[in-house]
Amino acid sequence: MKVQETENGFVPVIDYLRRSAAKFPQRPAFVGPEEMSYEQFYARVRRWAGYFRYAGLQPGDRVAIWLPKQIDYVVALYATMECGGVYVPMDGMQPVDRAQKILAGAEPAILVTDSARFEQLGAMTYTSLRLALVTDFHKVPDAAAPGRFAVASRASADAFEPQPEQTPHHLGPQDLAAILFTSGSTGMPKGVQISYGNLHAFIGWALQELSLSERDVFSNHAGFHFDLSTFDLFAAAAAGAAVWVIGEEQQRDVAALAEGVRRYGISVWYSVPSILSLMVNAGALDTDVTASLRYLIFAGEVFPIRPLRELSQRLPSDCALYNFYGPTETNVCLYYRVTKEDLQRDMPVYIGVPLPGQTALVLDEQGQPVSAPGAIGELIIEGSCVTPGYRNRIDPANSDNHLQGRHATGDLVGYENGYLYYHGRKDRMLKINGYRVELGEIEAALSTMPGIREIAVVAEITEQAQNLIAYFSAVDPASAPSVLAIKQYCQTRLPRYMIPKLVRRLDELPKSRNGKIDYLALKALALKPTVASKTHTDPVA
Amino acid sequence: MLENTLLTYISENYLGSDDQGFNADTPILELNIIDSGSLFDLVDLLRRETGASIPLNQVTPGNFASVRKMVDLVTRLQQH
Repeated sequence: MKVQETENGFVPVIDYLRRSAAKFPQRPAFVGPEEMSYEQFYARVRRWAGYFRYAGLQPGDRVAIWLPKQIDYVVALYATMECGGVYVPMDGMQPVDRAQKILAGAEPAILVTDSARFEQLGAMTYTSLRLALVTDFHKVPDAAAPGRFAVASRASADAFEPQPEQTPHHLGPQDLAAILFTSGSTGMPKGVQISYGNLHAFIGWALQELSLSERDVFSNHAGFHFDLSTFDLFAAAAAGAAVWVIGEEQQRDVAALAEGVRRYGISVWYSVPSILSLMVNAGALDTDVTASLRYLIFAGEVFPIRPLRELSQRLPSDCALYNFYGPTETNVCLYYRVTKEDLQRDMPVYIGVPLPGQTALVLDEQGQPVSAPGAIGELIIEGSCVTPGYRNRIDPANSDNHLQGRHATGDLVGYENGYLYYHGRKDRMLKINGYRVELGEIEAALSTMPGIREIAVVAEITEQAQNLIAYFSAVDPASAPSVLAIKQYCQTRLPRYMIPKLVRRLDELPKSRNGKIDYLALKALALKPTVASKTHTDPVA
Repeated sequence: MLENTLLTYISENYLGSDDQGFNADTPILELNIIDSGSLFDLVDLLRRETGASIPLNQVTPGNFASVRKMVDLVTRLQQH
């Protein structure tokens, strides 16, 4: 088995799979409804990679994947890396309108999807596209041959015999591994480019910090379009551990999640806090369910201390709790191991300290370092975890910063006892269930709806939840669109987590003196209890 | 009637009483009318209204996808 020589300890993450397939061929790579050994998995990856090359995929070309969460998704992702390509993971549940925007931005050479999504996409005119691999076509129907690109069934990829002497493409730290599209304030999702060096900065550290082995079983709760999934996939592959890929239909089903943790003996759980809070509040977790857990890691949003404390009481005493921090542009760049003392306090746990080799700066509005006790500033990250900018974004200042390994997070933070803590945002971005949400993207989508004159979206933030509230004024109040119509309009353009929870019509939106929408006034309005937004959860009888 | 009770409750509490187009088949989770956390408010309501005991493994997105699905769930549970 050829494994790329390392440069200063650098390992491209695809090598972890190659190594584990050679070292632990019979160990499970996946547990769950569909099980697969490392040998079977890597054999399928190689066949698909061979087919991708046969279709003309060149190193650096993009492969977009638009599927529900399943093992085929992971096969496509690794097959792309096996060829030196760049995987573009797309949320399988997002509406076609948004998927089309991402495809237009990604310009993929290959699209891997299923027949339902393929049909929704209609005529694709991307000149870059050479192949659409439709995973549930066992035979390609005649009508599916549009001429501009080839359409193939999964049988073609599954049956492809890779050349045994195929030398892996040499990958360096600067080579791109993936492009993850996140919410963009202008209404266009923006593609964060992630290099192999970025992935190594995080995964290499995780392998040092955590004691992982082939006996571990990882949960994979996050979607593959979400940067949390890189840990689930690549740290597990490095250890030769198994992964339970949790499908979308189970992601919010607390009983199914708890049953999976127990049945598959999950030892490493990594997710956003909100699903953990939900499981605790529903009474789904107890020490019988969690007996196998060794690491419980959360990231993506603030974990309110009360549910975190309750969660800790339902875990084995030797289970380590970690808070990972990092926007998509840096992946995980800070970490904190939670102590018993932290759980006695009344504030969320720290976001911690930088990973070794990374630097965290806290700067005030003048760009000066903040040092006074209690002072707050913007968190700036420097180091090899910083991704090389966005795809096709003309933003010289930001691009230069990124190329120099520097990212301004927009997060306001402070220091306490030598650790960083999160204070809030300096802009209109927020995280919902760990997903980045630019309020401007929702406004851009709704501004195109007939009947809406003005639109503004604000967030109502409580300890239990962050609710999006859309305020609008109508062109004609007598025929104003209904709440339901507005939600349905969003559903065709935005992922579910970006659909406003509450919608309110005003005769006119409040304005500041210079005529701009007064968001502070709207936020104050949001706090008035005109519509119940109950989020309490009682134990189930 | 349970269906009407649920429609009224959701309309008043989550739609600001603007129930235009809202019916028993409206996908309340997919449209983010109800979120996962608020599901348990509906579990409470069903318990109060019907006396049905709803086990945790039945509190699934599928069983609470719409008012009709909730009514079906309660009917199923009461038959057993």
